[in-house]
Amino acid sequence: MVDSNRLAAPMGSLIARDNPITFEFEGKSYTGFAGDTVVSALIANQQWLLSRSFKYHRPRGPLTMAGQDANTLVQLPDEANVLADKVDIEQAIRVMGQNYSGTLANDKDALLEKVGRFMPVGFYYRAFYKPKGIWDKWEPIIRNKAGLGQANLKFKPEYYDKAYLFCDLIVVGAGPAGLSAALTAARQGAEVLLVDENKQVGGALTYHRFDTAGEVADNLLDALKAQVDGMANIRVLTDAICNGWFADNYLPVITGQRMYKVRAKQCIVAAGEFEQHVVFRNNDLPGIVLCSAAMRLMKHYAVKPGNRAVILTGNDDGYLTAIELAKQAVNVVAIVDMRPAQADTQLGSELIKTLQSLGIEIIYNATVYEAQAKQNHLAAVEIYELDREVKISQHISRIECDLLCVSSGYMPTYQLLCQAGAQLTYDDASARFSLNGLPENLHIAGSVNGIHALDKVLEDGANAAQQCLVKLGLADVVNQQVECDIETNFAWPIFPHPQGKDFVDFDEDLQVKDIINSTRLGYRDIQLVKRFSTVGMGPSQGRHSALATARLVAHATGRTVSETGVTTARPPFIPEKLAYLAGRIFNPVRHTPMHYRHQSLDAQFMPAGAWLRPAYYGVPEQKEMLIQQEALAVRNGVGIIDVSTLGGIEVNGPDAAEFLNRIYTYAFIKQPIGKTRYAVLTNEQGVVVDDGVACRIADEHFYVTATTTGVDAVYREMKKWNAQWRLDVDIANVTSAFAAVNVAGPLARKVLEKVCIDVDFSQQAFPYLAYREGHIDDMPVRLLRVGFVGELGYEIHMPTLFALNIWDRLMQAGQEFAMRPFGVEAQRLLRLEKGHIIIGQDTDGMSHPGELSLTWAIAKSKPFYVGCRSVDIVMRRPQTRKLVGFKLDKSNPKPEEGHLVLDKAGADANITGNVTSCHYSTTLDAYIGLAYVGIEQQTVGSHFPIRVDGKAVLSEVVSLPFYDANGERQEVN
Amino acid sequence: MASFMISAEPQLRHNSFNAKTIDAAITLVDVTCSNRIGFRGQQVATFLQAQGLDIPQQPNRAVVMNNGLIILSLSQTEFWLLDIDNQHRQLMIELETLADITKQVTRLYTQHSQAMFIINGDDCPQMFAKVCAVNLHPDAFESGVIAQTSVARVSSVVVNVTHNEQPTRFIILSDISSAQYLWQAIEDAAAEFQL
Repeated sequence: MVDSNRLAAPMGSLIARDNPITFEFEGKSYTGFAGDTVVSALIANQQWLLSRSFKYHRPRGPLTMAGQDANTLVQLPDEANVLADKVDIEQAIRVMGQNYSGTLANDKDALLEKVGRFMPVGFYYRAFYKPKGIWDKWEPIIRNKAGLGQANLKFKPEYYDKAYLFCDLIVVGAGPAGLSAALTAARQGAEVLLVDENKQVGGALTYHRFDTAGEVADNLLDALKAQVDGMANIRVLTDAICNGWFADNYLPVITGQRMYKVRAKQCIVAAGEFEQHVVFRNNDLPGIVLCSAAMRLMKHYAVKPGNRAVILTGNDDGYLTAIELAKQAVNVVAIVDMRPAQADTQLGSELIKTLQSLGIEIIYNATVYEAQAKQNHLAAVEIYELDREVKISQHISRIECDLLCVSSGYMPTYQLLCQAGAQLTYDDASARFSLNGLPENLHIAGSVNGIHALDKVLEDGANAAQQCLVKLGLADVVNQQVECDIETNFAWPIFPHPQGKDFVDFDEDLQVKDIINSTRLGYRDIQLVKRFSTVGMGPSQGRHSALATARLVAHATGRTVSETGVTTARPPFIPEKLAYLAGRIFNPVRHTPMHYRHQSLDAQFMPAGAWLRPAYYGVPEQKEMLIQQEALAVRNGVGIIDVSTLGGIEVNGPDAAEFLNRIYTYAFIKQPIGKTRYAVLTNEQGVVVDDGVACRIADEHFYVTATTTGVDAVYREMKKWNAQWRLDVDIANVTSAFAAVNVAGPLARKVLEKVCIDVDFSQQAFPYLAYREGHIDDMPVRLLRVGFVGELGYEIHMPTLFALNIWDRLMQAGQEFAMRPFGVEAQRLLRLEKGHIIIGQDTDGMSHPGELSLTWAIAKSKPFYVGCRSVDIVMRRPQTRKLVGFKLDKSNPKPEEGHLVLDKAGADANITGNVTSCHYSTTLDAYIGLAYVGIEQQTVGSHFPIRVDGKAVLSEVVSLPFYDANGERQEVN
Repeated sequence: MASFMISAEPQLRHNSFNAKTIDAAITLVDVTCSNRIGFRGQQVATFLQAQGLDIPQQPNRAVVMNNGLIILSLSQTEFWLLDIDNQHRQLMIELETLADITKQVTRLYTQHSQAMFIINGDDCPQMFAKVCAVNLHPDAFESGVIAQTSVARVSSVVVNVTHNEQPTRFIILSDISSAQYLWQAIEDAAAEFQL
């Protein structure tokens, strides 16, 4: 059935007749050609019914053939809401209709139309909420009916990505104006990106008839295409849509499975206009299309759109459509011109003569008032005369037809331009919107600029390019503005019918009365009309309803159309798949040098900022047991943990000690070389924001550690402060330059002594909190005697490229002592037993040193440190809470981080704090933790309630640390 | 206590990530273990010139010396030296030693803090457009120019070291802890050009 409805070449510029393709629609097999869209192939097979409307389930067919209306939304196996006039049959082998019950042809839900009067505009907002609780009854029914299409949850995600594109000039729209602009700019040396949403360049030249002979467009297109092909500095992207405008011409262009992020110095929007329909009863029937849609069907797909046609027009373009239809053997019964007879066509007498020669009757000063259907397709139209006020007067005739082509004028493709800040102004004389107030470096050309005569369109494109060239420094002269007096828009193509179904917005089934009633209910502003009636909120986003709505609201509220305006156009221009945004997003991951060693030891990784750190080693099913075993290995023998993620900052220079003295709370001026000191950082509000260890390597050289996730902020703060202080120091973030491990446990010294032979590890020579440097197999290492986990321990900091070899050497040396790698979870338990806090976990945005019992780490005698004044102030105020250690018998439910601390048990309890850390400790055989409690709850030995799973659990306040209170474990020989 | 020679023992360096050389239209080679060193301070330019080195005349420019040593100027006071073929180890040790006793010159740990990849191929600018917001097309990014930017959201230094009529050649230096991630991101971005 391929050829039954096909026209002869040269019709069908997009199809390959030698490549037939079979596909299914609604379970029935059809054949089309490569290049056919689902819609063109179906219409070639006489299948016009594509979908059911959203609210009333009315039968719908294509309106625009350009992907600009919601009538063609169909379901593909893996994708819902696909525009069937944009998707090729090659990509849509199995297609189904949407939003129907039963079959597409016999939709049971079409009965909703019968009760339409009970669903007036805004009824969603005015129903279902009274009496109380009724929504629960309605919700499942509405949800069942709402929504279009079905998502395939088993769909395997595909590869989408993004790329930047840079150019001097982007031209959006490759119609005659765009082509002219691109060529003009390219000839002067500009790098041009030419973008068009269609499969071929040419815009209206590919389908519109610009002259009675029908020769101008084809000849011009061939010439322009040849010139563009010859310009190496024009990059053409077809099937690509510019989906938004962002500041400084930052433009997302979507094509295929990629989003280009275009950075253009200059931008010309030559995106043309949207042809507008006419509002009359049953104006949505399959078989009623825009004139441009009929032209597209013929010129692009060689599809004969009907056998017996009527043209309803308010401009000369309808006449040209009639000629094309007639040339393609369609019986054009009549042209119904809404304009008065005295309004001669602007193309002149030649056009009228051609129509007469084709035997086409012209009925002036008339309109279609009602369309009638038979078997879900247009069957006839009722023609009425219009009076002087453009209102329906008397019946003229009934014409049987299967095709009605309509054109009431055009609406500029204003979306991108209004996103950029352009203003729409309505001119009553021409009945059209124009755009002005464009930002710098953004220009318009062609019909979007109100220019319609083809020669003027080309000139306008060239002029816009010339303006860009001047801005780019590639030309000096700006040409004179182009003027065009062709009138395209009929002022009032709206003919309300007493029985309704005169649709303004096809997406939401909104009729004339719906818009009028919105204004009568008080929603007079166009933005409120939109939100109340949902006009313009459907998939076509007001492309064909904005102008009619503006006219109706203006008329109903006694304002001008300019005063009424249109609703805000926001990106994206067309529905954008989340895949374009989500595809190929960059999420940097940081690895320590030993990452793959941990992997081979079955480490289970956890994130720490962008880092991945071993949480524990072994199978997740044995997590708790493994953590306890790792902790016990440290307590009883020796363990090793990768602490490479620890931040590292080097401070060099004559003022290094003074600098640290100002940054951190403790005193550093007299810190001996070879010693470490605990360093607490407060912010200007006196809140503890980081901590670490400062090692004095030389008189003018410090190496300071910081928390994994805090180091970047600490480094930033240091740079910021020294920009003011101007101390003579160099500050370097060396986090990535150094890897580090902590070898901890009673046997730690023995492991180190085996591998680092140039350092004396004896208690006397290398005491607690000392810093030393040495070598492991000729590789330099920094050694810090630390006690974070409460055992004899050495942090070994080493240049990153040596870290893997050193790790291997340590693991080898540790075998003799059954050294075991331990992860972050065991480390957290061990440090908790020792009562050491973790900044960020045991602190919050209000924790000051007093609450954390860190006053010992403040050098009160020094004149200044960052946050000192605030610390003094908050410490002088009455204290409200305190971080304390607590202990709980293991028979109780385990408190978790964040669980609330109460002032008393019972329903009327008040919150006084929260748990920050809690673990089961094998060493203590109890739950231990840290929690903020009310200041009156801090007494050691007292009990306070924690709300655990809704119940209050009494925990005992204990003194810290939980383990090794005298620090004897550090002194083990 | 102050002798911590970061440039020592090159044979013991290990890059710790999987970076199998890609040899196609776009080649990607890991040279993380090659020699390099950085210096920062008010006197660095004078210091390097005194050692007979040609330094770039302005920041964000690179000079490739006749002996293969590449000198990057990242600011008026920060310079990095790249010795991709490991021919200048002795020079680097000497510079490191001298820097230790020179005021207003601080040695940086560029050797260990940065991963270093070489990317060859005329499609490099197009490939980089998938991972970097800066226009690295030759018209905008000539040989000898440096871009300190974000590549796949990792802070990076990209240097165009294309030589005469040879294929486009970029060096990228980036945080070493993200090297595995960045390698895979570039590998993925390059895939479409390898057909």
